[in-house]
Amino acid sequence: MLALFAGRSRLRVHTRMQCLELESGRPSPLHGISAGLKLALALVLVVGIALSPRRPDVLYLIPAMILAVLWALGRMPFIYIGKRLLVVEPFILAIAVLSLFRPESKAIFYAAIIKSNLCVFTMLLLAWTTPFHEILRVLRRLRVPSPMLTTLALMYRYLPVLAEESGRMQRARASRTFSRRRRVLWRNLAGIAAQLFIRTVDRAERIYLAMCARGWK
Amino acid sequence: MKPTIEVSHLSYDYPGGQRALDDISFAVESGECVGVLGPNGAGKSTLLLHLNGLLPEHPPKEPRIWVENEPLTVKALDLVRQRVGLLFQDPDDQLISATVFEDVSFGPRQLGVNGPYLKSLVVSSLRMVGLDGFEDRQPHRLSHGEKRRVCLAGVLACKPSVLVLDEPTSDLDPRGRREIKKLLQCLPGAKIIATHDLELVVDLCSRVLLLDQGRLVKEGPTVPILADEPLMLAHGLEKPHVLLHRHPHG
Repeated sequence: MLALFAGRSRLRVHTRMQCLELESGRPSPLHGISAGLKLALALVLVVGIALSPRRPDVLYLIPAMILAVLWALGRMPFIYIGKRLLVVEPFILAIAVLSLFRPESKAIFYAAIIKSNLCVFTMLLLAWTTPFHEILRVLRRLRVPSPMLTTLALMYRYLPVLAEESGRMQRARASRTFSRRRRVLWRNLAGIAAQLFIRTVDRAERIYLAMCARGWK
Repeated sequence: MKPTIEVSHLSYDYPGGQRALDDISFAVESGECVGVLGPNGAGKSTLLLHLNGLLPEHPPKEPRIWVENEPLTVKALDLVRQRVGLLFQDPDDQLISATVFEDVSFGPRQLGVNGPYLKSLVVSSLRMVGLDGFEDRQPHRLSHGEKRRVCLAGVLACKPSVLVLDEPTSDLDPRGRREIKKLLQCLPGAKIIATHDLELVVDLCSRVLLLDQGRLVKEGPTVPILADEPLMLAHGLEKPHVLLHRHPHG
Protein backbone atom coordinates (compact mmCIF):
# COMPACT_ATOMS: atom_id res chain seq x y z
CA MET A 1 0.00 0.00 0.00
CA LEU A 2 2.93 2.31 0.50
CA ALA A 3 3.11 2.52 -3.26
CA LEU A 4 -0.15 4.44 -2.99
CA PHE A 5 1.68 7.21 -1.24
CA ALA A 6 4.62 7.31 -3.54
CA GLY A 7 3.19 10.23 -5.50
CA ARG A 8 4.21 13.84 -5.10
CA SER A 9 2.48 16.23 -2.78
CA ARG A 10 -0.34 17.02 -5.17
CA LEU A 11 -3.39 14.86 -4.92
CA ARG A 12 -3.62 12.39 -7.70
CA VAL A 13 -6.29 10.14 -6.30
CA HIS A 14 -8.06 9.65 -9.58
CA THR A 15 -4.84 8.74 -11.39
CA ARG A 16 -3.98 6.29 -8.65
CA MET A 17 -7.39 4.69 -8.92
CA GLN A 18 -6.72 4.18 -12.62
CA CYS A 19 -3.31 2.67 -11.84
CA LEU A 20 -4.98 0.23 -9.47
CA GLU A 21 -7.49 -0.78 -12.10
CA LEU A 22 -7.08 -4.51 -12.48
CA GLU A 23 -9.76 -4.98 -15.05
CA SER A 24 -9.06 -6.18 -18.53
CA GLY A 25 -8.89 -3.68 -21.37
CA ARG A 26 -11.03 -3.04 -24.41
CA PRO A 27 -12.09 -5.93 -26.65
CA SER A 28 -9.49 -7.53 -28.92
CA PRO A 29 -9.04 -10.93 -30.62
CA LEU A 30 -7.29 -12.19 -27.46
CA HIS A 31 -10.23 -11.27 -25.22
CA GLY A 32 -12.42 -13.89 -26.92
CA ILE A 33 -10.09 -16.80 -26.10
CA SER A 34 -10.98 -18.87 -23.03
CA ALA A 35 -9.37 -17.79 -19.77
CA GLY A 36 -8.08 -21.33 -19.14
CA LEU A 37 -6.16 -21.40 -22.43
CA LYS A 38 -4.66 -17.96 -21.82
CA LEU A 39 -3.62 -18.90 -18.29
CA ALA A 40 -2.02 -22.13 -19.55
CA LEU A 41 -0.16 -20.27 -22.31
CA ALA A 42 1.04 -17.64 -19.83
CA LEU A 43 2.33 -20.32 -17.45
CA VAL A 44 4.14 -22.14 -20.29
CA LEU A 45 5.79 -18.87 -21.32
CA VAL A 46 6.80 -17.99 -17.75
CA VAL A 47 8.24 -21.47 -17.07
CA GLY A 48 10.00 -21.44 -20.47
CA ILE A 49 11.54 -18.04 -19.75
CA ALA A 50 12.59 -19.11 -16.25
CA LEU A 51 14.33 -22.22 -17.64
CA SER A 52 16.25 -20.27 -20.31
CA PRO A 53 20.05 -19.92 -19.98
CA ARG A 54 21.42 -17.70 -17.20
CA ARG A 55 23.09 -15.31 -19.67
CA PRO A 56 21.89 -12.95 -22.39
CA ASP A 57 21.09 -15.28 -25.28
CA VAL A 58 19.36 -15.19 -28.67
CA LEU A 59 16.91 -17.73 -27.19
CA TYR A 60 15.20 -14.86 -25.40
CA LEU A 61 14.12 -13.57 -28.80
CA ILE A 62 11.60 -16.44 -29.07
CA PRO A 63 9.41 -15.49 -26.08
CA ALA A 64 10.02 -11.81 -26.83
CA MET A 65 8.67 -12.22 -30.37
CA ILE A 66 5.70 -14.28 -29.19
CA LEU A 67 4.90 -11.59 -26.63
CA ALA A 68 5.29 -8.84 -29.24
CA VAL A 69 2.76 -10.56 -31.52
CA LEU A 70 0.34 -11.11 -28.60
CA TRP A 71 0.84 -7.48 -27.53
CA ALA A 72 -0.23 -6.31 -30.97
CA LEU A 73 -3.19 -8.71 -31.05
CA GLY A 74 -4.26 -7.70 -27.53
CA ARG A 75 -4.14 -3.96 -28.36
CA MET A 76 -2.53 -3.24 -25.02
CA PRO A 77 -1.59 0.49 -24.82
CA PHE A 78 2.09 1.30 -24.29
CA ILE A 79 1.22 3.63 -21.39
CA TYR A 80 -0.56 0.79 -19.54
CA ILE A 81 2.43 -1.52 -19.72
CA GLY A 82 5.04 1.24 -19.28
CA LYS A 83 3.56 2.46 -15.99
CA ARG A 84 3.31 -1.01 -14.50
CA LEU A 85 6.78 -2.09 -15.60
CA LEU A 86 8.15 1.07 -13.99
CA VAL A 87 6.49 0.12 -10.69
CA VAL A 88 8.12 -3.34 -10.59
CA GLU A 89 11.48 -2.27 -12.04
CA PRO A 90 13.02 -1.27 -8.67
CA PHE A 91 12.23 -4.73 -7.28
CA ILE A 92 13.68 -6.43 -10.36
CA LEU A 93 16.85 -4.33 -10.10
CA ALA A 94 17.16 -5.02 -6.37
CA ILE A 95 17.10 -8.78 -7.00
CA ALA A 96 19.40 -8.53 -10.03
CA VAL A 97 21.96 -6.49 -8.12
CA LEU A 98 22.38 -9.37 -5.67
CA SER A 99 23.67 -11.54 -8.51
CA LEU A 100 26.60 -9.12 -9.00
CA PHE A 101 28.23 -10.71 -5.94
CA ARG A 102 28.42 -14.12 -7.66
CA PRO A 103 30.85 -15.53 -10.27
CA GLU A 104 29.84 -14.70 -13.88
CA SER A 105 28.03 -11.86 -12.24
CA LYS A 106 27.37 -9.62 -15.24
CA ALA A 107 25.81 -12.37 -17.38
CA ILE A 108 23.46 -13.41 -14.55
CA PHE A 109 22.64 -9.77 -13.80
CA TYR A 110 21.50 -9.11 -17.37
CA ALA A 111 19.71 -12.48 -17.61
CA ALA A 112 17.78 -11.77 -14.39
CA ILE A 113 16.64 -8.41 -15.74
CA ILE A 114 15.58 -9.84 -19.10
CA LYS A 115 13.81 -12.86 -17.55
CA SER A 116 11.95 -10.84 -14.93
CA ASN A 117 10.77 -8.24 -17.41
CA LEU A 118 9.56 -10.87 -19.87
CA CYS A 119 7.68 -12.71 -17.09
CA VAL A 120 6.07 -9.52 -15.79
CA PHE A 121 5.15 -8.55 -19.36
CA THR A 122 3.47 -11.97 -19.80
CA MET A 123 1.41 -11.53 -16.65
CA LEU A 124 0.43 -7.97 -17.61
CA LEU A 125 -0.74 -9.22 -20.98
CA LEU A 126 -2.79 -11.91 -19.24
CA ALA A 127 -4.29 -9.31 -16.88
CA TRP A 128 -5.09 -6.99 -19.79
CA THR A 129 -6.88 -9.65 -21.83
CA THR A 130 -8.61 -11.64 -19.05
CA PRO A 131 -10.98 -10.38 -16.32
CA PHE A 132 -9.58 -11.26 -12.92
CA HIS A 133 -12.68 -13.13 -11.78
CA GLU A 134 -12.35 -15.43 -14.81
CA ILE A 135 -8.77 -16.25 -13.80
CA LEU A 136 -10.06 -17.05 -10.31
CA ARG A 137 -12.77 -19.27 -11.80
CA VAL A 138 -10.17 -21.23 -13.78
CA LEU A 139 -7.96 -21.58 -10.70
CA ARG A 140 -10.93 -22.87 -8.70
CA ARG A 141 -11.63 -25.47 -11.42
CA LEU A 142 -7.97 -26.50 -11.24
CA ARG A 143 -8.52 -27.09 -7.51
CA VAL A 144 -6.01 -24.50 -6.36
CA PRO A 145 -6.17 -24.48 -2.52
CA SER A 146 -9.10 -22.44 -1.25
CA PRO A 147 -7.10 -20.18 1.17
CA MET A 148 -4.92 -19.06 -1.75
CA LEU A 149 -7.97 -18.26 -3.90
CA THR A 150 -9.66 -16.43 -1.04
CA THR A 151 -6.54 -14.32 -0.50
CA LEU A 152 -6.38 -13.43 -4.20
CA ALA A 153 -10.11 -12.62 -4.32
CA LEU A 154 -9.87 -10.44 -1.21
CA MET A 155 -6.87 -8.59 -2.60
CA TYR A 156 -8.72 -7.86 -5.84
CA ARG A 157 -11.87 -6.85 -4.02
CA TYR A 158 -10.29 -4.54 -1.45
CA LEU A 159 -7.66 -2.71 -3.51
CA PRO A 160 -10.21 -0.16 -4.79
CA VAL A 161 -11.75 0.15 -1.30
CA LEU A 162 -8.35 0.95 0.24
CA ALA A 163 -7.47 3.31 -2.59
CA GLU A 164 -10.73 5.19 -2.06
CA GLU A 165 -10.14 5.33 1.67
CA SER A 166 -6.61 6.66 1.28
CA GLY A 167 -7.89 9.20 -1.24
CA ARG A 168 -10.50 10.46 1.22
CA MET A 169 -7.91 10.71 3.99
CA GLN A 170 -5.50 12.60 1.74
CA ARG A 171 -8.23 15.06 0.75
CA ALA A 172 -9.16 15.60 4.40
CA ARG A 173 -5.50 16.17 5.33
CA ALA A 174 -4.93 18.49 2.39
CA SER A 175 -7.90 20.64 3.39
CA ARG A 176 -6.16 21.33 6.72
CA THR A 177 -2.59 21.56 5.43
CA PHE A 178 -1.56 25.17 4.99
CA SER A 179 2.07 24.69 4.09
CA ARG A 180 3.61 23.45 0.87
CA ARG A 181 6.89 22.60 2.56
CA ARG A 182 8.04 19.15 1.57
CA ARG A 183 8.79 18.14 5.16
CA VAL A 184 5.24 18.93 6.29
CA LEU A 185 3.77 17.05 3.35
CA TRP A 186 5.88 13.95 3.99
CA ARG A 187 5.02 14.05 7.67
CA ASN A 188 1.31 14.18 6.79
CA LEU A 189 1.78 11.33 4.36
CA ALA A 190 3.41 9.22 7.06
CA GLY A 191 0.42 9.92 9.34
CA ILE A 192 -1.98 8.83 6.62
CA ALA A 193 -0.01 5.62 6.02
CA ALA A 194 -0.15 4.79 9.74
CA GLN A 195 -3.87 5.57 9.95
CA LEU A 196 -4.60 3.51 6.86
CA PHE A 197 -2.72 0.58 8.35
CA ILE A 198 -4.80 0.75 11.55
CA ARG A 199 -8.05 1.09 9.60
CA THR A 200 -7.04 -1.86 7.42
CA VAL A 201 -6.54 -4.03 10.50
CA ASP A 202 -9.97 -2.97 11.81
CA ARG A 203 -11.58 -3.67 8.48
CA ALA A 204 -9.88 -7.06 8.25
CA GLU A 205 -11.44 -7.93 11.60
CA ARG A 206 -14.90 -6.90 10.40
CA ILE A 207 -14.50 -8.78 7.12
CA TYR A 208 -13.48 -11.90 9.03
CA LEU A 209 -16.62 -11.63 11.22
CA ALA A 210 -18.81 -11.13 8.13
CA MET A 211 -17.26 -14.23 6.54
CA CYS A 212 -17.81 -16.27 9.72
CA ALA A 213 -21.45 -15.10 9.79
CA ARG A 214 -21.91 -16.82 6.44
CA GLY A 215 -20.40 -20.10 7.56
CA TRP A 216 -16.70 -19.56 6.78
CA LYS A 217 -14.45 -21.96 8.68
CA MET B 1 -45.93 -20.03 20.19
CA LYS B 2 -42.27 -20.94 20.74
CA PRO B 3 -39.83 -18.04 20.31
CA THR B 4 -37.51 -18.03 17.31
CA ILE B 5 -34.80 -16.35 19.35
CA GLU B 6 -34.58 -16.34 23.12
CA VAL B 7 -31.91 -14.44 25.05
CA SER B 8 -31.60 -15.01 28.79
CA HIS B 9 -29.43 -12.97 31.16
CA LEU B 10 -26.80 -12.22 28.53
CA SER B 11 -23.81 -10.17 29.69
CA TYR B 12 -20.56 -9.39 27.91
CA ASP B 13 -17.41 -7.43 28.74
CA TYR B 14 -15.07 -6.01 26.11
CA PRO B 15 -11.46 -7.30 26.30
CA GLY B 16 -10.51 -4.09 28.15
CA GLY B 17 -12.99 -4.97 30.89
CA GLN B 18 -15.64 -2.41 29.95
CA ARG B 19 -19.19 -3.76 30.25
CA ALA B 20 -20.85 -3.96 26.81
CA LEU B 21 -24.02 -5.94 27.60
CA ASP B 22 -25.52 -6.19 31.05
CA ASP B 23 -28.05 -8.91 31.90
CA ILE B 24 -30.11 -8.72 28.71
CA SER B 25 -33.17 -10.95 28.31
CA PHE B 26 -35.80 -10.94 25.58
CA ALA B 27 -37.52 -13.21 23.08
CA VAL B 28 -38.52 -12.79 19.45
CA GLU B 29 -41.45 -14.78 18.09
CA SER B 30 -41.60 -16.32 14.65
CA GLY B 31 -42.49 -13.75 11.98
CA GLU B 32 -42.08 -10.86 14.39
CA CYS B 33 -40.13 -7.71 13.50
CA VAL B 34 -38.29 -6.18 16.44
CA GLY B 35 -36.34 -2.91 16.47
CA VAL B 36 -33.22 -2.48 18.62
CA LEU B 37 -32.74 1.18 19.52
CA GLY B 38 -30.23 3.12 21.54
CA PRO B 39 -27.58 5.82 21.30
CA ASN B 40 -24.11 5.18 19.87
CA GLY B 41 -22.19 2.76 22.08
CA ALA B 42 -25.37 1.34 23.64
CA GLY B 43 -24.37 -2.21 22.66
CA LYS B 44 -26.71 -2.73 19.69
CA SER B 45 -24.09 -4.11 17.27
CA THR B 46 -22.48 -6.16 20.05
CA LEU B 47 -25.86 -7.75 20.78
CA LEU B 48 -26.37 -8.60 17.11
CA LEU B 49 -22.93 -10.23 16.91
CA HIS B 50 -23.93 -12.41 19.87
CA LEU B 51 -27.11 -13.56 18.11
CA ASN B 52 -24.98 -14.96 15.27
CA GLY B 53 -22.46 -16.58 17.62
CA LEU B 54 -19.66 -14.23 16.55
CA LEU B 55 -19.25 -12.99 20.11
CA PRO B 56 -17.97 -14.07 22.55
CA GLU B 57 -15.03 -15.67 20.76
CA HIS B 58 -15.70 -18.96 22.54
CA PRO B 59 -19.40 -19.57 23.27
CA PRO B 60 -20.00 -20.24 26.98
CA LYS B 61 -20.70 -23.77 28.22
CA GLU B 62 -23.93 -22.58 29.74
CA PRO B 63 -25.92 -21.13 26.81
CA ARG B 64 -27.52 -17.71 27.02
CA ILE B 65 -29.09 -17.69 23.55
CA TRP B 66 -31.48 -20.16 21.90
CA VAL B 67 -32.31 -20.10 18.21
CA GLU B 68 -35.42 -22.12 17.39
CA ASN B 69 -34.86 -23.95 20.67
CA GLU B 70 -31.29 -24.83 19.73
CA PRO B 71 -28.92 -23.59 22.46
CA LEU B 72 -26.04 -21.54 21.05
CA THR B 73 -23.03 -23.68 21.97
CA VAL B 74 -19.80 -24.51 20.15
CA LYS B 75 -21.43 -27.62 18.71
CA ALA B 76 -24.44 -25.75 17.33
CA LEU B 77 -22.47 -22.77 16.00
CA ASP B 78 -22.68 -23.72 12.30
CA LEU B 79 -26.39 -24.46 12.54
CA VAL B 80 -27.10 -21.19 14.35
CA ARG B 81 -25.11 -19.16 11.82
CA GLN B 82 -27.15 -20.70 9.02
CA ARG B 83 -30.43 -19.96 10.81
CA VAL B 84 -29.50 -16.38 11.76
CA GLY B 85 -28.65 -14.25 8.72
CA LEU B 86 -26.63 -11.20 9.74
CA LEU B 87 -26.42 -8.08 7.57
CA PHE B 88 -23.46 -5.88 8.53
CA GLN B 89 -23.52 -2.10 8.67
CA ASP B 90 -20.83 -1.48 6.04
CA PRO B 91 -21.52 -3.43 2.83
CA ASP B 92 -17.83 -3.24 1.92
CA ASP B 93 -17.10 -5.47 4.92
CA GLN B 94 -19.53 -8.07 3.69
CA LEU B 95 -18.91 -8.05 -0.07
CA ILE B 96 -15.72 -10.04 -0.35
CA SER B 97 -15.78 -11.56 -3.81
CA ALA B 98 -14.80 -10.41 -7.27
CA THR B 99 -18.32 -10.68 -8.73
CA VAL B 100 -21.86 -10.49 -7.39
CA PHE B 101 -22.46 -14.16 -8.27
CA GLU B 102 -19.38 -15.28 -6.36
CA ASP B 103 -20.42 -13.22 -3.37
CA VAL B 104 -24.03 -14.36 -3.16
CA SER B 105 -22.88 -17.97 -3.58
CA PHE B 106 -20.28 -17.65 -0.79
CA GLY B 107 -22.63 -18.70 2.04
CA PRO B 108 -24.33 -21.61 0.22
CA ARG B 109 -20.89 -22.91 -0.86
CA GLN B 110 -19.88 -23.07 2.81
CA LEU B 111 -23.00 -25.18 3.35
CA GLY B 112 -21.86 -27.57 0.59
CA VAL B 113 -24.27 -26.36 -2.11
CA ASN B 114 -22.89 -26.61 -5.64
CA GLY B 115 -23.82 -27.04 -9.30
CA PRO B 116 -27.11 -26.01 -10.92
CA TYR B 117 -28.91 -25.67 -7.57
CA LEU B 118 -26.32 -23.12 -6.42
CA LYS B 119 -26.86 -21.13 -9.61
CA SER B 120 -30.65 -21.16 -9.25
CA LEU B 121 -30.31 -20.19 -5.58
CA VAL B 122 -28.15 -17.18 -6.48
CA VAL B 123 -30.50 -16.13 -9.28
CA SER B 124 -33.59 -16.40 -7.05
CA SER B 125 -31.88 -14.54 -4.17
CA LEU B 126 -30.90 -11.71 -6.51
CA ARG B 127 -34.44 -11.62 -7.88
CA MET B 128 -35.79 -11.30 -4.32
CA VAL B 129 -33.77 -8.14 -3.79
CA GLY B 130 -34.62 -6.77 -7.24
CA LEU B 131 -31.18 -7.25 -8.80
CA ASP B 132 -31.91 -9.62 -11.70
CA GLY B 133 -29.00 -9.92 -14.09
CA PHE B 134 -26.39 -8.51 -11.69
CA GLU B 135 -24.49 -11.83 -11.46
CA ASP B 136 -21.39 -10.72 -13.36
CA ARG B 137 -21.23 -7.19 -11.96
CA GLN B 138 -18.27 -6.25 -9.79
CA PRO B 139 -19.06 -5.09 -6.23
CA HIS B 140 -16.85 -1.98 -6.40
CA ARG B 141 -18.84 -0.76 -9.40
CA LEU B 142 -22.18 -0.82 -7.55
CA SER B 143 -23.95 2.02 -5.78
CA HIS B 144 -24.19 1.93 -2.01
CA GLY B 145 -27.85 0.83 -2.14
CA GLU B 146 -27.07 -1.90 -4.67
CA LYS B 147 -24.17 -3.13 -2.53
CA ARG B 148 -26.48 -3.40 0.46
CA ARG B 149 -29.04 -5.35 -1.55
CA VAL B 150 -26.33 -7.73 -2.81
CA CYS B 151 -25.33 -8.27 0.84
CA LEU B 152 -28.95 -9.04 1.66
CA ALA B 153 -29.12 -11.50 -1.27
CA GLY B 154 -25.98 -13.19 0.10
CA VAL B 155 -27.69 -13.58 3.47
CA LEU B 156 -31.00 -14.77 1.96
CA ALA B 157 -29.18 -17.39 -0.13
CA CYS B 158 -28.35 -19.22 3.13
CA LYS B 159 -32.12 -19.53 3.81
CA PRO B 160 -32.06 -18.13 7.36
CA SER B 161 -35.11 -18.23 9.60
CA VAL B 162 -34.20 -14.94 11.33
CA LEU B 163 -32.78 -11.83 9.69
CA VAL B 164 -30.58 -9.68 11.90
CA LEU B 165 -29.87 -6.29 10.33
CA ASP B 166 -27.36 -3.74 11.58
CA GLU B 167 -28.28 -0.22 10.41
CA PRO B 168 -29.79 -1.38 7.09
CA THR B 169 -30.60 2.17 5.93
CA SER B 170 -27.50 4.08 7.05
CA ASP B 171 -25.74 6.07 4.27
CA LEU B 172 -28.64 5.53 1.88
CA ASP B 173 -30.41 8.27 -0.05
CA PRO B 174 -34.23 8.52 0.33
CA ARG B 175 -34.80 6.28 -2.69
CA GLY B 176 -32.37 3.66 -1.37
CA ARG B 177 -34.08 3.82 2.02
CA ARG B 178 -37.49 3.37 0.43
CA GLU B 179 -36.28 0.39 -1.58
CA ILE B 180 -34.72 -1.34 1.42
CA LYS B 181 -37.83 -0.67 3.52
CA LYS B 182 -40.12 -2.11 0.82
CA LEU B 183 -37.84 -5.10 0.49
CA LEU B 184 -37.80 -5.80 4.23
CA GLN B 185 -41.59 -5.54 4.37
CA CYS B 186 -41.84 -8.32 1.77
CA LEU B 187 -39.35 -10.71 3.38
CA PRO B 188 -40.82 -13.52 5.47
CA GLY B 189 -39.49 -14.70 8.84
CA ALA B 190 -38.48 -12.96 12.04
CA LYS B 191 -36.42 -9.77 11.76
CA ILE B 192 -34.31 -7.92 14.30
CA ILE B 193 -33.28 -4.45 13.15
CA ALA B 194 -30.73 -2.30 14.99
CA THR B 195 -31.08 1.23 13.70
CA HIS B 196 -31.24 4.97 14.33
CA ASP B 197 -33.82 5.28 11.56
CA LEU B 198 -36.89 5.64 13.79
CA GLU B 199 -39.30 6.13 10.89
CA LEU B 200 -38.23 2.72 9.59
CA VAL B 201 -38.89 1.26 13.04
CA VAL B 202 -42.37 2.81 13.15
CA ASP B 203 -43.17 1.38 9.71
CA LEU B 204 -41.72 -2.12 10.16
CA CYS B 205 -41.39 -3.11 13.81
CA SER B 206 -44.23 -4.14 16.07
CA ARG B 207 -41.98 -4.08 19.15
CA VAL B 208 -38.76 -2.36 20.20
CA LEU B 209 -35.92 -2.99 22.64
CA LEU B 210 -34.32 0.18 23.98
CA LEU B 211 -30.69 -0.27 25.01
CA ASP B 212 -28.44 2.19 26.81
CA GLN B 213 -24.97 1.55 28.22
CA GLY B 214 -25.41 -2.17 27.60
CA ARG B 215 -28.65 -2.45 29.57
CA LEU B 216 -32.14 -3.16 28.25
CA VAL B 217 -33.94 -0.11 29.64
CA LYS B 218 -37.32 -0.58 28.00
CA GLU B 219 -39.09 -3.20 25.93
CA GLY B 220 -42.57 -3.08 24.42
CA PRO B 221 -44.82 -2.04 21.52
CA THR B 222 -43.20 0.44 19.15
CA VAL B 223 -45.51 3.44 19.13
CA PRO B 224 -45.94 4.00 22.89
CA ILE B 225 -42.17 3.81 23.45
CA LEU B 226 -41.19 6.00 20.52
CA ALA B 227 -43.90 8.55 21.33
CA ASP B 228 -42.62 8.91 24.90
CA GLU B 229 -40.50 12.03 24.37
CA PRO B 230 -38.87 12.24 27.84
CA LEU B 231 -37.83 8.57 27.57
CA MET B 232 -36.41 9.05 24.08
CA LEU B 233 -34.48 12.21 25.05
CA ALA B 234 -33.13 10.57 28.20
CA HIS B 235 -31.53 7.87 26.06
CA GLY B 236 -30.03 10.01 23.30
CA LEU B 237 -32.90 9.59 20.83
CA GLU B 238 -35.73 11.76 19.53
CA LYS B 239 -39.41 11.25 19.04
CA PRO B 240 -39.78 10.51 15.29
CA HIS B 241 -41.53 13.09 13.09
CA VAL B 242 -44.37 10.73 12.22
CA LEU B 243 -45.29 10.53 15.92
CA LEU B 244 -44.77 14.20 16.81
CA HIS B 245 -48.42 14.86 17.46
CA ARG B 246 -49.19 11.57 19.09
CA HIS B 247 -49.41 11.06 22.83
CA PRO B 248 -47.57 7.96 24.16
CA HIS B 249 -50.77 6.52 25.62
CA GLY B 250 -53.29 7.88 23.18
